[in-house]
Amino acid sequence: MVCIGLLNTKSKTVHLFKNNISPFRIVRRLVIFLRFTFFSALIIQGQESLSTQEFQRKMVRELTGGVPIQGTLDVLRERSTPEQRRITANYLCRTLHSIGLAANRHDYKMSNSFFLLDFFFAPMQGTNVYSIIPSTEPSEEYVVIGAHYDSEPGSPGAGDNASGVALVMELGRRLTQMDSRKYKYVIAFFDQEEDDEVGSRAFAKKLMQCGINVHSVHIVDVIAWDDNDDGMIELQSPSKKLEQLYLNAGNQLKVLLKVVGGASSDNLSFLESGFETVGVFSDDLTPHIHKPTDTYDTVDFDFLERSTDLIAHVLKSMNVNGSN
Amino acid sequence: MARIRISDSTFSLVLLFSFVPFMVKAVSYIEAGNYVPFLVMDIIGLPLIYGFYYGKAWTVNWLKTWAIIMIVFGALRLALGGLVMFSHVGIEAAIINQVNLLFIALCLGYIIGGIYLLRNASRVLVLAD
Repeated sequence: MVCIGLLNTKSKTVHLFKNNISPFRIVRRLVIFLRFTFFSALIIQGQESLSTQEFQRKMVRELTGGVPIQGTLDVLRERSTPEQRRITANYLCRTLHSIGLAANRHDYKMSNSFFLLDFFFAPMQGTNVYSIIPSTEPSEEYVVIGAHYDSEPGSPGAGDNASGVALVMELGRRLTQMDSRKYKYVIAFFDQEEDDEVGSRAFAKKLMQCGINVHSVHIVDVIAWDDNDDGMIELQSPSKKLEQLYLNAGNQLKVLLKVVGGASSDNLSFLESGFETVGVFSDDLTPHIHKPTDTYDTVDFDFLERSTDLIAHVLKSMNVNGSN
Repeated sequence: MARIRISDSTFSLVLLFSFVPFMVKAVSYIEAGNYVPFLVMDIIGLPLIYGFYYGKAWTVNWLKTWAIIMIVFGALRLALGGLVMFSHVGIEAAIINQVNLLFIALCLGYIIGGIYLLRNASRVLVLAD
């Protein structure tokens, strides 16, 4: 995949020596380096042994400010301001590393949703984080699995969308453990969904520009609430091919699925760009959405795990049978 | 060689700095794939270069127009900022996050700079040797 590597990938190089570096700075950097190595080793060791639910609970807790992010002193109460989103993007990169994946950044700038705003305000800018899991057999087809990581101002965003991020990261973890992969997988975390899906629009645009052969796009959002304990999952505007795959998986896992039209999240960006897309959501909308009460305690982790299993099953069946 | 020059260095400096935020904006929008702000800057900037060759009256008029644009722009931006500050309903977080002390200072800078340019535009232009 030549072009996805061109998605404005930033690799940060830490230069140990700069001009006029003092012995104090060398010692300080050495301490930082050792601390980073120590914590990274701890994180990697820790992540591998966690069950799905433990892993997802840990991620949602860290993303919603329940505890400081592991290895740092940063506490994320929400993920709305540029600084909070920067910390979150760094956290996602570290978590991708911890599950054995290389993290890439896609920095973008986009015009505002209403053209007159361009004259008075700066352009929208942010960073999508993504990782590519290679196929085990020759393939140039990509399956994109994504969730947005930003939250509405004033809301911790546990359901919207730390839950989706935890789901996608867990899928990344499972995909790396698969012995054979027919497709290449892009694990993507989009910025600024709450701002008119700017991050995913930039990502879809880049995929189009690069002429990437995208098999399908699976977008997960607000997947943390089950009002009536029926475990029902909503599929938004799936293509015929994906609808059949999900319905088959639902039948096999005894998961209720509801197919609806429209697109209320990042799936809109990919639908508009003409990709085979499905949006995966909780059928019951959390009453805490965009509110300060959208906290860790309101997330239904059993439901989240069942949803993860469903998508994992779909990906596995695609891998075994193909879907064309 | 320009036929007209500005005799007051403070005025030159204010004029120069009045362009900087707009140029920064134009360039950042080019990165975003939108060339409109850059074209608007060209439309505003080219008459100035032309005016330095063409004549004093033209240049004075242009400077005054530019000053008025700055004042109106600063006032509109300040009003929009106030609106965003006090009503967050339906406004994107990316816009809300931009309205801070620096934003207000910049708006006031546009207005004060514009007033300064407007008041001194007729006084500072002289014919070059």
